[in-house]
Amino acid sequence: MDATQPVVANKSVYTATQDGLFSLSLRDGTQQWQQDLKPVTYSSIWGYGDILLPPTVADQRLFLPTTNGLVGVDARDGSIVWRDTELQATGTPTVTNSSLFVPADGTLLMIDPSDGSRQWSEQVDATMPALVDGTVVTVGDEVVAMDATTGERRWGRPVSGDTYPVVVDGTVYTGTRDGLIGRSLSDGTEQWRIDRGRFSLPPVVTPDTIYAVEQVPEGSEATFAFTRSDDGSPEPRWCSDVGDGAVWAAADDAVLGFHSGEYDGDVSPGLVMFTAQFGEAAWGYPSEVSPAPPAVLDNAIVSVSGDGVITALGGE
Amino acid sequence: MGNIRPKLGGLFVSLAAVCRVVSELPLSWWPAPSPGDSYVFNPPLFSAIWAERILYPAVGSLAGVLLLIGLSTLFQRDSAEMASWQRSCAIGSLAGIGCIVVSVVTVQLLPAKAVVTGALGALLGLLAAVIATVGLVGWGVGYVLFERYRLGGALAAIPLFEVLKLFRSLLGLDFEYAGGLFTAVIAFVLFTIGYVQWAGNALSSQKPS
Repeated sequence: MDATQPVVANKSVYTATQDGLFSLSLRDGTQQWQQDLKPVTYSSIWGYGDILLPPTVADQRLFLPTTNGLVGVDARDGSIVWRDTELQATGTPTVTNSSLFVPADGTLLMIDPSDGSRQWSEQVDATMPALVDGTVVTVGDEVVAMDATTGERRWGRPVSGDTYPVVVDGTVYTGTRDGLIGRSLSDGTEQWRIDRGRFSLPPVVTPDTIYAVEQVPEGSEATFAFTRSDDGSPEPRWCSDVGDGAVWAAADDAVLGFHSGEYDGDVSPGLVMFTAQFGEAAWGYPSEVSPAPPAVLDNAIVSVSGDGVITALGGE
Repeated sequence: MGNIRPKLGGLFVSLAAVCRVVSELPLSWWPAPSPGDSYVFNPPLFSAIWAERILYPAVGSLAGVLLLIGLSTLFQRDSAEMASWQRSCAIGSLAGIGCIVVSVVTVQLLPAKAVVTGALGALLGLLAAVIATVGLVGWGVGYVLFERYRLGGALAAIPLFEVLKLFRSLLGLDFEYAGGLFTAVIAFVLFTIGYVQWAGNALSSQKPS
């Protein structure tokens, strides 16, 4: 993999390669600046081998885990604002305007994004933490919820998987080898479990639907759409064979995923948009194996291919 | 009562023709979602997926049952006047059609995992189709010999057009409205049988010249 998952903010596309961190114009892809930073590689949870950890962005600040520590960069001109050379991130940081949560070798650190100073650290394994309503949730050896301000552990539950959590409407959604599990954000109690197969990848959750990829041993994978229910287990609405696929993002009326298998319809393997209600393939964009999710905007998609080519689809 | 049964039989055969047409209407005529991209667990009523998964198998099976009942009344009406070989053909065709109906219904009702049982059902259906084909042709030829050309020709035409339709499908000879054309012809043939049965006289009223 030659380029990280693209991140879009401030009318710019940010991505990193072994040659550095780049800012490109969202409109036409022209390079705005380059900073000589080498991003960290880690094993993709989507099973596409080693990939580069992407930058994260909040306001006018970028944060990139590099081989020489975590770096804060001014998004406007690419200048380095701070660098913590002793902090080697092992997962994707999560950032807000006032907090930066960084997974680092069995520890989760909370850092002040303005100057890089460490606020607290806790011994938890994490891939990419989720932050909701003052609670930070991680998944590693267990699902753990912590107070975002103090790092105090609120609850923890064992889990079997190497994914990251998705937190929506007071529920922590976790894809595991034992199924897709919904837990209460407040106390971690299991609310429901879909155990028809392995759901080791993180789901995508909209107000009405949960999208998740079911992995079948020695078989093709399938994207499932489950209708959310206020009182009980989600009900399957549709499923679609996607080969070694993934589901990346969703809106109210559509879901975007990756389809790696053969297809006998009009849609070639690559990025595929399914309608939310019945899983009809609305369109497809042929591409090689996509190792990382695209950035999804209101009416456009910015995607990076396996050979590092960044493509913007749609938009005005 | 003796006159009503054949008429009812004729009505059933005509209804079988209607069911046959309904069960093969183009799926594009139904509202979305259409079969193809994804498996929909609970398709909405009157959608193309609902029609393909629920309506068409049910109506197709009903067509088989109605045809079986209708032809049975025809056999009951005329069997006493048939030559023994024609009677044998008629019994064979009824048995064949009955087995096809049972086979189709069995395959549809079986869970997907019952592959072995399903394969046996399909094999039984294939064997039954051969018996029904030979039987219907023989039964129809018998009527032709009695100068009941429309009834005889229609009975013999059913399996012939079904076989032609099957070969067209197997050979991939697909042209626009091909399936619909064969279905329309088969439905017309069934209507003919139904009408002749409804309006016609028993075989006992006419001897071969």
